[in-house]
Amino acid sequence: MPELSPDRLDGYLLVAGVLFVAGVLAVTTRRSAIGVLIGIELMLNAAALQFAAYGKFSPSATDPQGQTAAVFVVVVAAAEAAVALALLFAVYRTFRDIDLDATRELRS
Amino acid sequence: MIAFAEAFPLALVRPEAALCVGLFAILASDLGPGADRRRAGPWLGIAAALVAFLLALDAPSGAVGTMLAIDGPARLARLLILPLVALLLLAGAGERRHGTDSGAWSTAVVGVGLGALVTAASANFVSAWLGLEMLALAGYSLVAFRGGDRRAAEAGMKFVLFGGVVSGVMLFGISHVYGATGHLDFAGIGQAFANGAPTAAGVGLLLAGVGVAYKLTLVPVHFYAPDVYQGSPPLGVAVVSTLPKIAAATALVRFLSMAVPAPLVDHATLASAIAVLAAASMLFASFTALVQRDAKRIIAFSGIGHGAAVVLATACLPARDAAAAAGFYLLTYVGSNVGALVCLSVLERATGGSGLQALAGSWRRHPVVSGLLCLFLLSLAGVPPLAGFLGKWGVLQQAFAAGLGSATYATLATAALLFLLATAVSAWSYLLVVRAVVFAEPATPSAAGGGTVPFATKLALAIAAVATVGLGLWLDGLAVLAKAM
Repeated sequence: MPELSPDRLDGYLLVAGVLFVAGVLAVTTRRSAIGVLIGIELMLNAAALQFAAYGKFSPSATDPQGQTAAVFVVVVAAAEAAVALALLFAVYRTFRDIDLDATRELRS
Repeated sequence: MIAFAEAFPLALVRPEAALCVGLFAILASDLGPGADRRRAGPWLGIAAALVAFLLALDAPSGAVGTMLAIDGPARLARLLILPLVALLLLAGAGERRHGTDSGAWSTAVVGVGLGALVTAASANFVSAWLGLEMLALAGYSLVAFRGGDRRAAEAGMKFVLFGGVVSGVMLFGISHVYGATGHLDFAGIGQAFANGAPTAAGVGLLLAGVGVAYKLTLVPVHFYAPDVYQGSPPLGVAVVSTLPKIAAATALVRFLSMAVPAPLVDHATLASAIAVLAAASMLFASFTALVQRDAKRIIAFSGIGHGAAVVLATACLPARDAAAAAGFYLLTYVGSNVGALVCLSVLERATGGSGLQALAGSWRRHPVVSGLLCLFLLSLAGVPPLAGFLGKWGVLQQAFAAGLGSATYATLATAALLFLLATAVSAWSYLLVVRAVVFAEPATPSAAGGGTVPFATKLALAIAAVATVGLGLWLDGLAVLAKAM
């Protein structure tokens, strides 16, 4: 186990990787739509953390791209959550449930 | 300190700015009292889209930093997207059963259009991702626009959850590309690959490609389309099946022409992989469509097949005219596809559903609309002399020319043969709809007369029909586009 410190890139990448895998697990195993939504947020934030970390440790220390990308991700993730929650409300109002197995009418 | 005008040359993005002004005008008109004022939404949007179209006709080329590139494909995409936005708003103004003539609907349609313009002009992964998110977020609400409808709500939920997952995967891939190459702009990434970038960058690109494939409904990330389209109002399908495809295809064309990951994957392997993906999507879509019993599901599988045909054209890059063939294909596809969905919207209102059983015998209630639906479906099937035939012809020509030219690109020729096979098979699925509409006995024989068709709907159908027939007769259209690129 390498020593993790704020001055090293791999610590940030490890945390981002764990967050992303946790998000994928939540998306694939949760039956509740809210659980899936939390998984999506984890994935997006893993990417944001990775952008910021790569930006901080980029060869040209003043490269702003990673930091700006991270800010964009935060903003879009908030918008995405707002739209998704509105749609989940619509589902709950009609089905009285947000379980992905209980809300299935569309099929061939 | 750079002057603002220098950092952000507004003259390059006048059409986008005009559409933005239209978006805010719709939002402002929606605040006013009275239902009549709120009906202004579509017309304000149409006016903005047409003004933007006029501005785009004679637009200069250039680059907005490393974010946007206003080049040939971007300008062609504008000329496709802006009239399409106007047509979709017009159809919404006519088919107002679920409030599609409201400011909320029009805002979302214009928002999808704006996102499509940004994506189509993107020369940077950040602007590409932001554009894709813009059109996705607006599209989610269009799909679920029918308040209180179980199927629309379920379709919206599926769309937003699948879309969110794909967006997260794409973004994670982009962050790896950035980390491995130090660049987010396509040109810089191409440079880094030419100098030998690490494998992590290739893996990142693969993940980023998932997001583009999702918008083009390529197998294996096509799975959302049938359910989402079936639950959505037909006009919502008309928006989310056309604009994202134009945007993603244009961004793909730009990326492939600016940044081929050359030392990691050579060009022939990349082109073959794309062609295999496209051929698999076409075959899957054409055979699966045969067992569908709902017109909107058939439209969904048709969209998967048509998206794959566009991707096959991009696999022929950097061949001359390959981008023009993709653009012409999209032009023929969107005209017929939007026309078919507006017809389905009218028939759905008359019959209460888009299942083949519900549509049975629509011919007797709405002879003209049913006839037009058949025309649009035959064009999608590729029957000459309609538009779809010329579109397919252009792509086939490119794929055979690239594939038969050299042995390393032989996969392209095989994919073109499979495209022919898929076209023949998918024609049968369109005929299933035609058979139901024209020849089947209606379930409820008493219901004659399906109500009047509003003027705006008639106008939208007329425009789509003229495009479908006219493009099919415009034999040198592809050559004109190729010259304009």
